Amino acid sequence: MTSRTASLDRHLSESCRIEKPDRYQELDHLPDGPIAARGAGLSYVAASFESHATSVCLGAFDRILAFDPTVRSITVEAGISLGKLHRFLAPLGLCLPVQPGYPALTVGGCVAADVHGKNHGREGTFGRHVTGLKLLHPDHGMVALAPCDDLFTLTVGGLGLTGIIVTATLSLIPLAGTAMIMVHSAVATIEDGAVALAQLADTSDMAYGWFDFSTPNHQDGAGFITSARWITDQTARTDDLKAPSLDPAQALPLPAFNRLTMPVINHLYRWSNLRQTKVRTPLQAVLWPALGRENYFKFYGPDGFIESQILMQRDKFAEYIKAWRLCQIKHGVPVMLTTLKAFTGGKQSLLRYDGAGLSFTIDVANTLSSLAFLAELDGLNVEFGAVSSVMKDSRLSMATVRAQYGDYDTFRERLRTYDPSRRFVTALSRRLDL
Amino acid sequence: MKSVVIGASAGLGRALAEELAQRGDQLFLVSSNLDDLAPIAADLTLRYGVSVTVEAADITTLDPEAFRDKVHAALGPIDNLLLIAGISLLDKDKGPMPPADLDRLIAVNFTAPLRIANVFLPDLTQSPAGNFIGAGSVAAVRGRRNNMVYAAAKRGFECYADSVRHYLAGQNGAKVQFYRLGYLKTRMTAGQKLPFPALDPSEAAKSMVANMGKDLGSVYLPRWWIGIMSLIQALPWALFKKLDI
Repeated sequence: MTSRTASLDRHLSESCRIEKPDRYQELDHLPDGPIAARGAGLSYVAASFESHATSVCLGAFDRILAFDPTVRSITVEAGISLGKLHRFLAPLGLCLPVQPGYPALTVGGCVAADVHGKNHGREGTFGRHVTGLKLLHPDHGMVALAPCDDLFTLTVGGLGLTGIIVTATLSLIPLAGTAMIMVHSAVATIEDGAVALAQLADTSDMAYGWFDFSTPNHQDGAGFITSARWITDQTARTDDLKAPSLDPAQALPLPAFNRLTMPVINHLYRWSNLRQTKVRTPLQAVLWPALGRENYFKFYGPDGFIESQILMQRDKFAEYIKAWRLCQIKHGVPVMLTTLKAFTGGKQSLLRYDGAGLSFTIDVANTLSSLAFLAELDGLNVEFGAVSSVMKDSRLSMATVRAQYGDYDTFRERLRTYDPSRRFVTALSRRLDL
Repeated sequence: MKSVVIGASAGLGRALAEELAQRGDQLFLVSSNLDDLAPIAADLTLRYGVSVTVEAADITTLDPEAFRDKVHAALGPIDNLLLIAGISLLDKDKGPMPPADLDRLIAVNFTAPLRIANVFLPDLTQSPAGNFIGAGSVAAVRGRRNNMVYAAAKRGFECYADSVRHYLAGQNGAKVQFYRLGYLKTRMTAGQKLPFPALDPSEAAKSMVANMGKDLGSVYLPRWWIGIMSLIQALPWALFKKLDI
């Protein structure tokens, strides 16, 4: 089956062959030539397809294989979605420690991207909770991996380039509550927001900041900080989990987010969040903030958007944001979404987006001026020692990533040592020359 | 209820196993490969708390009596027999084909389901709430130059299902539902340009399980295929023979 496939941000679209095996014997006969491992197909950065590769979609391999509530461990096939897993675990009072924001994402994708969730300081990234993997490579067969194995560390956050993750064993934690009380506090500037987040890191179950940089003139980034605490006020409900409907190919024929609408939407969003400063948010809205808001991605229109996410040392952030603002003013680019989260305790290695500092995320429409703005920011990020998430920003160059990640050459070399023929190829690996 | 699903490793059979497990049936699942059945059994047992027994077997060489004994040992007499396994050889099944392929098409789509059904008829006569469910195809409604052997085998199976219906009605036994299935979204149809929409196997399974207990005989699934196939059946030969369908 050959079809046009797009990255979630629609920055890249290619025709590629997609196979959807549904039996194990089909995994024994993987296609000849380059292969791309594919889960939900919702990566921002084309991490599951490439025009010359056959994408092997693991969607049918979505079963729970073993579960031990006494040691809080579950073994699943890697094509299982976070939503399906949640439906099983929540009634038992358990959950995955790290949950990215959309229920259609697969466990295999979360391992390969080593995603982060709601509380990095407490739970780290997804990979920290993986205790075993089965990895399939046509030249190496099916291999069982433990955290002590080199190949395990190369596979967790390995961008799907070491093979097809077939099963994963995951540690679980008790579900901390059935809802969250979210408290929104206004802040006048993003610098104030950064200070507030630092104070909240140890006292809240989840905290993030939202800021308005939708008007590309001299803005301070007025916004709000949300801090949240778990509460238990009713049985965790899973029966009303909405069906995920995110499809990267779907977009409005014209962008609804533009220079005129972005400030209005941002203003209304800030106003609506600060109108009621204490809100009870049900479990599913906490876990899956993007569920039911799929139109956000469509509203950027056919050219899509770019998400830039950088991890910056706290002590450099105030100085960085001054330079960042000047750059935004220079290029006149409205930012539709700006968020800030605190990362604590992690350790950056290979190409993983991990470490300590502030995770600063912006979404901009995919325009020529945005690309020029982001290209200049790449230099600024290198200058300030920030690392960009390779799983979010679909236009990062190899040179930028190499300059930001001290382990780039190590990662590339270890991939080649394990797999000299480099059978697993994606548009992402091609761009980063991995 | 106690249900046997033949051809349960993928597609419609797997979806039916899930629907039956969801409503609490005890299951005996058959497919050619244990690698596929074991994860399904583990998953359904963990998620729905039902008993699932699996048997990896080539249904064309299966000893029906020995198989029935295994099922009885696991479940006792059964209520529901779902004969879903089937194969088609789209690229070969047009004019003369290698005899081994022809034999296999007939064995999987016709002989094997009949041999299995035959040994479970006594169970089904004793279960008025039970069901005999067969998976046929819209391809079998009017013979064409494509799918020649497959269509013949499926039509033969449908004819047998009609006979079973008549037989069980006389015994106040299980109800018969035989599905003339349209396109399903499976690995085989993925990426094909189909003239009509394909149905998701899980949707098909939901409909089929909802129909259990009904004396339906042969029906189309989805039901709108009745219009298309009635038209094709009504086409005069002079026109039909010119169509490459």
